[in-house]
Amino acid sequence: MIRKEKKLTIPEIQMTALPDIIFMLLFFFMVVTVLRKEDADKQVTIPEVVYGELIKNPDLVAVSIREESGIPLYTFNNKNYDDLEVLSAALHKKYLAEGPSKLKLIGDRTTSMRAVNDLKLTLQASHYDRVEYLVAKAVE
Amino acid sequence: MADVAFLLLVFFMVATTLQRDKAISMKLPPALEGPTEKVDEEKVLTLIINVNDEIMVESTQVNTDYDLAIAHHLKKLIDKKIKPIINVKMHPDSNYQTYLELLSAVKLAIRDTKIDEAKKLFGKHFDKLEKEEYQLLTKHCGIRISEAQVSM
Repeated sequence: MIRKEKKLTIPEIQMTALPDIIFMLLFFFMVVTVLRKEDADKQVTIPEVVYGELIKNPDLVAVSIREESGIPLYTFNNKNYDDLEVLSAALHKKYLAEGPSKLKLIGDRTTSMRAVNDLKLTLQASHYDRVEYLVAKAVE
Repeated sequence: MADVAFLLLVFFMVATTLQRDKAISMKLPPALEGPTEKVDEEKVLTLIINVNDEIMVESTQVNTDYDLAIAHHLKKLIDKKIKPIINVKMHPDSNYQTYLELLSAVKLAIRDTKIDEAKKLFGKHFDKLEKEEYQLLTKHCGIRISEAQVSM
């Protein structure tokens, strides 16, 4: 049987979507880029987070603290607490369910150290001894 | 057009540092039970935040470069073969921001002190130490931090 030799053709690759993908990546990097300004080692920085951003994440153990007319208010797992004993019970429940973990303590700049220290004592009692301190950044 | 976009894309990919949460990590001591431990006054480097949010390092008010002042005192203690205890005392009405500024400076001062000691002991930079050398350095410096809320 005689076979007719077929011509080999290179399949065409559709490139139409390429600029779109490049632009999408470009915009992503343009938005998330933070250009480095100074040597991080020689800078005394106060760590900041956007207020409430971390608190909404239920997987993360984070407690925020702020004062309203001198009365401290705490937020944990999207709930507000004004009683440290109730907060302690909620924290302890989380500890029993998930075991030890780091806790983020997010405070307003002007929060008094009296309120922060009271919260620290509650954390000690609730077995959260590894604390990361952050400052709540005002949303501009 | 695509070339320009590529060029910009490469630039931003190279220059990008994704912003991560920066935090000051501390390990809280276990809840206090039983009698308190008395320590030698000579070992203690006292840092105070007063009601006006002013910072004092060993009774001297410091307005800028807290880390340098703290590192200076730490170095003096370590040179005398004393393992320092940094005692942070704060007024209950002082601000959380000032407390974090001081804590940040303390961490920086400890790091600077360790960099100096690493050079002296091992002749190399702190970041290039082996695990055993790092442990030896930590033992040699033996810096501890304690905190207390005091009404002044």
